Amino acid sequence: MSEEYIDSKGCSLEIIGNRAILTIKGTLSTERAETLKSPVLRAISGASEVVLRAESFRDADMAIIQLLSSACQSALLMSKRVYLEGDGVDEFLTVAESAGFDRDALCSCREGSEL
Amino acid sequence: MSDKVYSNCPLMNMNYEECFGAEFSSLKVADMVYYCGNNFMECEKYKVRTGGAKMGKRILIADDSPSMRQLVSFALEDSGYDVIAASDGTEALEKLKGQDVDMVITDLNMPHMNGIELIKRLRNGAGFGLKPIIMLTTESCEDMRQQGRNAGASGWITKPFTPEKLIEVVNRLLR
Repeated sequence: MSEEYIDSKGCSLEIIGNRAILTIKGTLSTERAETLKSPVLRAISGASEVVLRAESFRDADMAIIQLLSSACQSALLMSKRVYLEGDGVDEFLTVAESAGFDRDALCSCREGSEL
Repeated sequence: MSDKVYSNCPLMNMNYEECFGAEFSSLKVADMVYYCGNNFMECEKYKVRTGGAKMGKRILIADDSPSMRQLVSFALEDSGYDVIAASDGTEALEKLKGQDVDMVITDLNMPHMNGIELIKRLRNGAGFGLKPIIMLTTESCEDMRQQGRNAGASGWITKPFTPEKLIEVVNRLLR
């Protein structure tokens, strides 16, 4: 089964079986972080494997970095496998760390590396 | 706003004719937001369907991480429990006033009032009696667990945990 939620900027969330894939397009604003918050967390809660996919994480707004990092960290604490896919993951992690998130934990989400 | 059309509510697992009436055979994202509130994931019909369905059992969860609070809430609600959420021990005590809560699940490290202090308050005069209190924390050292036991914790679950494990423990303690 696949479920999809799309915001006005083209973000989509697919749930296929126990896998949730959040695809992020373009620059992410504070407003979009608010819109996506509940669907993202709902998807994570219902999936054992979560993929956060973006064309680039480099220019993500702080609000979306906080949203994704927090969701990602919580997903890890609930024994879910999480992957980050896209350019700029290192930059994303650096900003997330500066915002107080656990870089070591989030690094396990790096593209291709499974928790 | 996207023009994508949905024929089924992903949350309620029913078509929109069932949810809103015969004139709604499908809804766009904007319509879903309009009819279901600012965020359709907070659908009132979904809350009514799941809230308290498990023999009316109500659980308070205290955790300073909003995403962890919500993820644990989803897991509990999906299992039929009614959930009250608080961001720390102080807010938990406030929200417990006048509420009939069957269980508390608390994080250890929280601002203002940590989990150990919350348990002490609940066991000493907050009227919570012997109802179960579970500590849900990344802390695993034996000294801290002993402090939890001394304070009156009924159980200790270390993060990372699986939602299935949490529900199993909750079901057992609330049986």
